[in-house]
Amino acid sequence: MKDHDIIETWLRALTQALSSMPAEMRADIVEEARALLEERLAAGLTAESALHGFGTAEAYARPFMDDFQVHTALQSKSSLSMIKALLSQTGRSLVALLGLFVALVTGLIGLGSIAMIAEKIITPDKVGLWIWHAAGRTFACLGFCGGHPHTPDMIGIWAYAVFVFIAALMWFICRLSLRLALKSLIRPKKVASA
Amino acid sequence: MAPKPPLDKTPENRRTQMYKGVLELAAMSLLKDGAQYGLKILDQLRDEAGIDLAEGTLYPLLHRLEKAGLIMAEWRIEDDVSHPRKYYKLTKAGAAVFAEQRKAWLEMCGQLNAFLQRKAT
Repeated sequence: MKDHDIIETWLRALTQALSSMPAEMRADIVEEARALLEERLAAGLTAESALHGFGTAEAYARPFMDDFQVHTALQSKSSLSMIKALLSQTGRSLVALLGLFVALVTGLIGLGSIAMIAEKIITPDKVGLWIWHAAGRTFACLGFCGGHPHTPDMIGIWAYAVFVFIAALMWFICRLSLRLALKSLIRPKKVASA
Repeated sequence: MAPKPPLDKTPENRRTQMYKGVLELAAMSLLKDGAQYGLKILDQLRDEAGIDLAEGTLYPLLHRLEKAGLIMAEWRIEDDVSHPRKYYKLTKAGAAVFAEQRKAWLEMCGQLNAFLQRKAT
């Protein structure tokens, strides 16, 4: 196979690997690689030598695709897209893993709060806030307390407002954690923290 | 026989890890002097800064800096070559970030050099 054919085959594989990108962005990346490869060939290098620094087309495409996925997720503002983008980077980024972990914890607390609102509607006397003393210690229960001691519920109907507030707060923190993790993935690195 | 270093701890890998944080700084420093295209950036970083980068590292890095608004790119058609070249140059925001990062790096290097050489003096 001639050098130019090898380069063309590699560029076709690169185009394929970048296929989920917008055409203009994809063409820009492919054309830039083509320009450099042609310049290398013109300088007398073989196709194999010219391609050596690029690696496989798939490996070369990966950072571009990661970057594209993160930017798309941030622009879409969809939680699902943000989770997907972070999931694809958990193997390579501690920040992505941490962002997902915080989102998971806060998401679960938020869902739990919504469940408490539903439970309050079904069994109003078993969801609330109880504080009691036993064996010299103070105990508290916010949420569903099936076997609480005979002390009055301290918040009554305000439990709805409390759980709505907790759910909203957790939703906010969950999304903030996803956004911050994604932003930190595309932020230029600071040398002082390198 | 001396024990083999772990695969991810070879001297070359260590050097790559050390470079990672300063690649952007080095690239921005180069572009501060004027617009350059990829191949020239690769050659200059290797010849002047001793950073031997692969194309697979440089282009995603330039792409990331461009997305962050620190550099901007334009295709130029030149008489001496048959194909257009993509030139990169530092933006205003990039120049400000570069100045800040350069200062931080020089301070850190000064302190670290003094620390590493404390036994030699």
